[in-house]
Amino acid sequence: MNDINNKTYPLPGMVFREELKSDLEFILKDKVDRITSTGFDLLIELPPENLYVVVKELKENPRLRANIFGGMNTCKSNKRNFLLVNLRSAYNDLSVLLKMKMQSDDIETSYIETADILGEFYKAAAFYKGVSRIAGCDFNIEIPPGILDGLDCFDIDIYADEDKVKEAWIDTCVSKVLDYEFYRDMKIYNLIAIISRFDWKAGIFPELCLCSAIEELLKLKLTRRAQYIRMLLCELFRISNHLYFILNICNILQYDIGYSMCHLERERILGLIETITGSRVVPNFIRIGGVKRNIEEETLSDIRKNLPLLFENIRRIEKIMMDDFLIIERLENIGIISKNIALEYGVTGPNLRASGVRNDLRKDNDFISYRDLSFTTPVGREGDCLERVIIRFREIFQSLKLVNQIINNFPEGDYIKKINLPHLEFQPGVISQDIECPHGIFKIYMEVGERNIDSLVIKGPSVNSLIMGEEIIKGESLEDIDLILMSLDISPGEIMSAQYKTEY
Amino acid sequence: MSAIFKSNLNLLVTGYGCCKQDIFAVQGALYDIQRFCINFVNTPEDADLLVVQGFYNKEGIIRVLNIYERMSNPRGVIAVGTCVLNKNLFSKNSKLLAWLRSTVKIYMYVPGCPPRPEAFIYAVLRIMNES
Repeated sequence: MNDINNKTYPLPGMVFREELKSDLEFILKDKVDRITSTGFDLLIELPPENLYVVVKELKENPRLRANIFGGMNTCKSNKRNFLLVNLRSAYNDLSVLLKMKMQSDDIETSYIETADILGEFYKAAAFYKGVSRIAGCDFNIEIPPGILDGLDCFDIDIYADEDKVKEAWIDTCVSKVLDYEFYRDMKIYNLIAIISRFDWKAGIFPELCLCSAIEELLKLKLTRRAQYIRMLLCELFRISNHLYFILNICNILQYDIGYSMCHLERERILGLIETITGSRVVPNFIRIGGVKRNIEEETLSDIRKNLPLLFENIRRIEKIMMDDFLIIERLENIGIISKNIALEYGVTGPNLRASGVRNDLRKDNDFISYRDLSFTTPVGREGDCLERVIIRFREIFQSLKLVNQIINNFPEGDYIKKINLPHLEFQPGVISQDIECPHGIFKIYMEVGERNIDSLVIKGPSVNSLIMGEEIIKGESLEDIDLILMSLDISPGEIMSAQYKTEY
Repeated sequence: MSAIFKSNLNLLVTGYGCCKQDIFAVQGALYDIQRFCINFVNTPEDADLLVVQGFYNKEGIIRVLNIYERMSNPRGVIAVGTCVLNKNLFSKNSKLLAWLRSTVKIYMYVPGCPPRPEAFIYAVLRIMNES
């Protein structure tokens, strides 16, 4: 029991980070160009030929022990293509971004070359080789993209022996739609308007991440009312996302009563969101320095009226689902994620918490002003599909508790700080921002010039879950594949943002 | 379109995008599209109408046309969302609508980013009543 609830992630603090930075500078003295501190990560610029030595040092040095592979992305700065590799450590507060020049002009070739080097240390890196990884493989079943939201952005190639999956490869060729530099020549307020499409299951979080990154650069402090409005929306979207997850699970299980009841409660939440933001799923509500509109007393009383209903009805859904013998039988003991595998593949959010690791940015970091409120982070034990459903239910109840606290202590004051957006000028710099979205940790890396954004990298947590999906469906039967992949709560927008199309 | 659609209509949703959750919201108890005898199916052979929505690349367009070929006659297409109708938000040179128009007949366009569930229901009912 002690082992389950022990805390793998320590409390982060700038003191530890500064210490780590000086350590890194000493250890990697001759091998890297520069080490800078950028908000949530340490940015290490290095020449590509030193990659092997640096990663080996980061992985094997007992002081650093970077055992988590976060992901790989491309970025462009000063008209040159760069690769960004994110490595983290489960043992200390280390989170680094390795930035190096691309070895060749073609994105795909340089991905393959880098993934070959990283593949010796991290299993997850092999995914980034793309189609070339699948070309030589021997598979006998090919599953095309499904109908449901979350299973519709990738093919699965399977080598199966009778009905047991022996080997699986996930191919994301249909989801490569993003232009390499879609943010080029785009005003910041236009970017805020469209960025919620990168995570449409919970649209507020990409906006929030972008705006908080810019506020961090401008050193802007929010009013308390703006912070509370943001927290209220975050929690409402978290409930909506988790209900959407549960109704999709019910849909796969053909459990119609759960499906209909979840739809009703989700519509209730979306109605509340619509009265606040004016839109159901893509809010376009967060602004730099606050929010777009004030929340009236009528809206608050509307939410206050709906809260007991929501609590009662969701409790009822939980009861009828968890009392059903057939649902428990179907969900139990499939798709088990052990603690080590989850950490190795860089999974975050409820999926990681279901495997028994307590990791929540809302608690660990001073994210908005969650420290004013009282709530607990649910932690699971088994890490199977059932545990992941139960964790979502428990998070919904915590979110309802948070909403109740927020609307009862709603502070007075301004909801936005007026800034001159068309003539906004930044201190040129680099920033990376993390926030806790319903799927995990959503990350944005930005390089800004004086007037505009030079490069923008968006990395959602679903990519890591998808890569791990390849690993955990091995040994399961064919009929459970949909259920296991759906239980990872994959958001297709995040898969899309991780890859750029190489041809059209 | 045949008058057979008046009694039963099967929809198949393809692509991936933000519109999908608002399209499937009509299946819920609040909007309940099934009271008009409209169902969502999973196989192209059963489907009467193809709902095209979301983001597509070259590979995706080829697959949509393959799905359309597998559908039996009479058949039709509804285009949903700004990404299909106007221009894709994230890839400006997308030619999806031109590709679709050259090969298939589009019965109804549903604008919006994403369109509300009521708009989708209205479009489907228009097709049913005009047939």
